[in-house]
Amino acid sequence: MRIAEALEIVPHENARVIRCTRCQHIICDASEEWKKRAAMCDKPVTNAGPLFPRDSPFLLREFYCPGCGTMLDVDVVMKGDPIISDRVQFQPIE
Amino acid sequence: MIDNIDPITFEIVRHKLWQIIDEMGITLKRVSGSPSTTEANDFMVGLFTANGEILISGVGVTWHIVCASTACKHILKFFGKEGIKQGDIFLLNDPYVAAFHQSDVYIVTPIYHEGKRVAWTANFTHVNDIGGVDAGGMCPRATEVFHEGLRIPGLKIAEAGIFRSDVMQSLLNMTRDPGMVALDLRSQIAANNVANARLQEIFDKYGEETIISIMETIIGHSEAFLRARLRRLPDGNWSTVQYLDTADRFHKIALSLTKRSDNLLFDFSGSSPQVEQGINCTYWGTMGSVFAAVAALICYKTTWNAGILKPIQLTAPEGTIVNCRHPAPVSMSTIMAGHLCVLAAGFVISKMLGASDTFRDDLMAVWRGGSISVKPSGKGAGGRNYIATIMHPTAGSGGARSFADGVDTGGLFAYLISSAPNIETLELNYPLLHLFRRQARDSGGPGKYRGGMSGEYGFKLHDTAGRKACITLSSMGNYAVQAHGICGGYPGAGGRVKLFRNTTVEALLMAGQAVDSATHFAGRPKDMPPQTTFEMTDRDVLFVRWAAGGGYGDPLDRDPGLVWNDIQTGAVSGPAAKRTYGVFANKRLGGIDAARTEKMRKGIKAMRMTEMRREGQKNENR
Repeated sequence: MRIAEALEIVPHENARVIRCTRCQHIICDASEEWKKRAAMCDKPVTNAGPLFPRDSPFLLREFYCPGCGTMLDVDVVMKGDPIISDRVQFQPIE
Repeated sequence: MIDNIDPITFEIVRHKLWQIIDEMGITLKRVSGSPSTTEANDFMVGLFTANGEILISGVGVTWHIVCASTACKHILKFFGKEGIKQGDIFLLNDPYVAAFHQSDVYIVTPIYHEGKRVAWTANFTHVNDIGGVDAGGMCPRATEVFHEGLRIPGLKIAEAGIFRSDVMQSLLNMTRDPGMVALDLRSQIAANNVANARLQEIFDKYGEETIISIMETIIGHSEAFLRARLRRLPDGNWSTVQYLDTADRFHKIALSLTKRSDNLLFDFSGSSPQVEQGINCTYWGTMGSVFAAVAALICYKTTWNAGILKPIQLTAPEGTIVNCRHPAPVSMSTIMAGHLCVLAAGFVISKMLGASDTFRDDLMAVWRGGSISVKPSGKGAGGRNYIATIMHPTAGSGGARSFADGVDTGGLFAYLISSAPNIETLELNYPLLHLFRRQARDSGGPGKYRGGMSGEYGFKLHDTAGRKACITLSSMGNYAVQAHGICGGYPGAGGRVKLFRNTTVEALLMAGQAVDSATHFAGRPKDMPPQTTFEMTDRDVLFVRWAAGGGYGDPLDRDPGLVWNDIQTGAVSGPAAKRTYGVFANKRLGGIDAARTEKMRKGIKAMRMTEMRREGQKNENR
């Protein structure tokens, strides 16, 4: 079950895990919050293009697959903001 | 209620009801002369049940439909059973009763058939001025709702079929632009009259019992549709944080969506306290914003009505900018906290859709973040008062999708008929000269699929006989980043408002030179605060760029051929292609240098891996 452009939930050794669809790197158990297990870097907003102001107090919080470096998500945050939580329950209803 | 309605009759009536709201929209545009109604489509129409529940949300600004329903219910309560008669038409604009802000005036008409009240019809237009401290309805200087103009919790503008000229004249005395406001109000009455006449026809033809049963069935269908769709989506919890910029600080709108089975809980806990500036939003405004997002992203194949509200639960803590207490000012709410609530709700829903293989293609990154309303007012050459509303930013910009780019200047999210005004019409009505209006290069949020480009324009005063104009600027997203990308996509660029003083533009124009770039304006521009008023002379130029749409997916996954196409069309510059997309364009070869592009992309990924290792220790602690 794919849960984002480059993330999927798959069975693995009697459990379910979240892994990268590009390199199959296992990021975490399906019950965990994947963002806390992915690689993370805070970057200046100018990374997103030349029209962003250089003196912006905002940051791009980039999450990567630790296996292949694919960018999995980007949150816009202010310095010190906690991780913005996204959690999919791995058992779809029906 | 009739149990077994003939399905053919059902569909005919359903389509006739749709036809009625389309005709209401056409009537508003044809009768009103106000550019915000005729050019930018800043209105909404709808039909409601006898107790004020939404039956059909019409074309227009979708997030107003909950306010309109609340207005019908309030009129029922306020005037009581005996106070409402056939032929009455009500006017309401009180944000602490039902409306978003005072400028959006609701005209509400009870529909009677054979002496019995069987339905309601309502619409709003954004009138050009409502008598607040600042001209044009948006009041950056207001610190309380009392400064924002006329506030009416409900009165009869027609009584038992007789138009109340005394009431109309009293209203018009309170506005700086009585001509335009009268046109809007009369167009609204006309639209409701059209709806009334058409409803009479179908009630006469099919009978009250059949029509009421069909109304109830339509609402039931919409609820069943939404619940069935929700059951096919995964359960989970998705969050976002949006920031709203004012001159001295940033205000937070925090939203968490929890989806369980066939129910949705939108929780705005953690949002900032209300402030003494008109950025706040009332409860029904926030509810309307959530409704609009659910309707646009999940319910596009069913009728938008009260059935959609039933699976939705809303938590909006009182005293915050998403549910303010009286007397907090709200005059800018539709383009401030209210607009951010629509974007935030659309974003968390899109995250949920992205977690489904079946519905991933329905998601969208955030559409045009930010809002910029520029309203010049003053006297033209002939001494005539004017208040102009420049609504180019309603050309908007689409958020990227999982299979395609966002639409360049593709309108606003959940505002299906948003459109940019015709510049010629603006210049005909107001003493303004536009120097340019165009799409903004490098504005669309980079991604595997790019966010839609935004636009920019520049104008000066023209033919004012040397008179100055007062500019009321109400904007957000010039300093905060609001057009978030999704699934690894970057945000779209924000807005900008720059004032160039004492330019030589007039002389350049007289010399026959095109003036379309900041280099022609000379002098150092001033970045304007988000919400303010200031004077402009006919030597000054105001430059405005509105915000773009967010991207989808890792920009390094974008097909280099698409990046080349973007460079060719002016959507992306060569340096941005290299830095953000890792694409090396070789104009001499007339295309992409594939080898250098591959090398560059590998280099960017390698850099990410290096940074990951460096940041690793820090991440362990979170």
